[in-house]
Amino acid sequence: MQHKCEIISNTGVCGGFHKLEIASYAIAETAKPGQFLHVRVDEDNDAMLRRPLSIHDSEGGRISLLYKVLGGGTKMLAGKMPGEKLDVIGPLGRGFSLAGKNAVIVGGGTGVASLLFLARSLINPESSPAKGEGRVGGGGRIPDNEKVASVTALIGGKTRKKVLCEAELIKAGCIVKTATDNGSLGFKGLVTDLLKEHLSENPADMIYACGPMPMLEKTAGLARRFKIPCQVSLEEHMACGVGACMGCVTKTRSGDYPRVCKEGPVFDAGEIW
Amino acid sequence: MVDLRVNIAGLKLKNPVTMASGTFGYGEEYSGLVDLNRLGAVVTKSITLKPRAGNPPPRLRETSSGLLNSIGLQNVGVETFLEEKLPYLNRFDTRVIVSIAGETSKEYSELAGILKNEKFDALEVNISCPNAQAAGRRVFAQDPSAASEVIRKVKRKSSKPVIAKLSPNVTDIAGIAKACEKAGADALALVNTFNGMAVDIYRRAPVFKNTVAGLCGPAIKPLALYKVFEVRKAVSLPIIGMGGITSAADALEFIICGATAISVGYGNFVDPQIPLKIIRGLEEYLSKNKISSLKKLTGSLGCRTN
Repeated sequence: MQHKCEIISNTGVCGGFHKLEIASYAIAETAKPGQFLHVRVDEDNDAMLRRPLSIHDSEGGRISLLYKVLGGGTKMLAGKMPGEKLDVIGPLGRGFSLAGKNAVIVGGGTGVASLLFLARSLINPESSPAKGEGRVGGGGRIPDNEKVASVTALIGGKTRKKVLCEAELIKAGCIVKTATDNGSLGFKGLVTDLLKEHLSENPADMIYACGPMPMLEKTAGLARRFKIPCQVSLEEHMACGVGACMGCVTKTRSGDYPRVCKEGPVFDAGEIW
Repeated sequence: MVDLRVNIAGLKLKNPVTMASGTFGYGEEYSGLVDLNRLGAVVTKSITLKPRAGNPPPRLRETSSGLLNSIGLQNVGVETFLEEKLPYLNRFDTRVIVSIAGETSKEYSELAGILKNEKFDALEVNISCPNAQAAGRRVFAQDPSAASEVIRKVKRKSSKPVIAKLSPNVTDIAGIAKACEKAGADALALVNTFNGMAVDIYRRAPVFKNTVAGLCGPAIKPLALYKVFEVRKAVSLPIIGMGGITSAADALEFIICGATAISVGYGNFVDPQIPLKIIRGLEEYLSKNKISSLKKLTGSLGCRTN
C-alpha cells in the first residue's frame, strides 16, 4: 500500500504539465482506471501533506502520473530526478466500472489525465491486469460480444495548447474529438457542447467524465437527458487519502457525505446531481 | 534494552505513541499501512449518541506546515461503533481509548453509561472540538465550570480512566486543567486544534461554512508545547501531549516538558510510518544517553541527561 518507487522519468509536456513515471509492479498489478496515488512531494521537511494524483497510465510495471505545476508541492514534484525514490500510497479509491459497448469519455483541463488509463483498459482489457470493477468477473478472456465496440474521447481545453493527450488517446484506439474555447483546435466551444452534438448523432451507452465541476454537472445533465448512464471522477482536497479523517467528503443529492478518497473518486453522476 | 513503557493513571501502554482522535478513524483504514500492534494506543474518532453527518464541504485547507479542518464530528454513532468498529480494534495488541462527544453534559453522561461495560481501555472526553457547536453554545473546555460538570458526570458513570481533552483556545489553560483535575479526571490530553480561518479572496467569503476551523500540524508545535508546559506546572495529572509531532525529537520535547505519552495526528497524513519512526527514535535516544526507562524523562526539563 505504501511504496517507495524509483522514478524513471519526469518531464515537461505541453501546457505547464509534467509527466512522471515510476516503476512499480506492485501498484501496476492492482491499479484500476480512476484510482489515484497519494504522493509525498517533500521528503526533507516533514510538514507538507501528500498530493493525490490520478493514475494517468499503467503499463509494463510502470505507472505514470500527469500533473500541473500549480504551487509549492507540485513545483517540488517537478524537480525530482530519475533514480530518486518517490514515496506513494496506493492505488487508492474506487475506480471506474468498465461497461458499455459504445463508450464516451469526456475530459476537461487536468481531468483528461485520468482518462488515458481508462481508455486503454476499455479498448484493450487483456493488457491491464486489473480489469476494473463491474466488468465480466473472474478474469480470463472477455467474450467477443462483451468487448467494447467503440470508445470516443471528447477532450476540451481553453486553447489548443491546453488540450492534453490527443495523440495518446488516438494511439490507444479512441476516436478523438477536441473542443477549444477559441476554436484553435477542433470544435469551437465547450467540451460539453461537443458532447451534446456527439450524443445527438451517435450511439452511446456509457459516459465517463473527469474535469472541472461545472463541466461534470453539465455532463451529468446531458447524460440524464439522453438517458445514458454516467460516471464522474471527482476531486477534493485530501489529508489522509485513505478514508480515516473524513476531510474529503462530497455532498450527494440525498444529503450524504461520502469520501472522495474511499467511496470515490468515481461516483455515479446521478448520485451527485 | 530500553524500556518505553508508560502508565497513564492505570492505563499501561507499551510505548508512549498514541494516535490522535479524528485522524485515525476507527483504526481499520490505516491497518494496511501500519502495524496497529506496535502502537501504544489508538484514540478513536469521537463518537456521539446518534450518528452525525458532519459539516458540509469544504472541510480541509492546507496551510504552511499545517492543516485547517472543519470535519464536524462525522461519526457512525455509538450503536454502530459498538457493533462494527470496536470489535475490529480489539483484535490488536494496542490500547483502545474511546473518544466521546456531546452537545450537553447529559449526552456525555449517557455515552459514558452506554460504554461502561464495553471492552476498551480508557475514555477520552472531547470537550474541545471547535467544529461542532450547537447554536449559541460554548466549547465546554473553554469554561472551567462547564468542563468540570462534564468530567464529573462522566466520571460517575465510568469504570475506566477518564481523560479530558483540552482546548488551547483559552487564556488560562492551567485553570481549565485544575478544574478537570478537581472534577476527577484521571489524565489530560492536550491540545485539540487552534481556532483559525481562511478566506476565499474571489468570493470574499470564509472558506469554511462555520468560518472558524481547527489548525493542526507542525505550525502549532511551539504553541502546543507551551500549553503542555503550563499545564504541567499547574497539575500533577498525567498528560498526553500533542500538536504537530512528526518526529522522535518533537515527541521528546513534549515528554521533557511534562507529557507522559504523546499523540500523532497530522503526522499520519504525511507518513503513516511516523509513529514507528518515533518509537525507534525514542529507543535510540534512551540508548545513546544511557537512560534505561522513558518514564524518567517525563517533566525532566532543567535536568541534564549526562
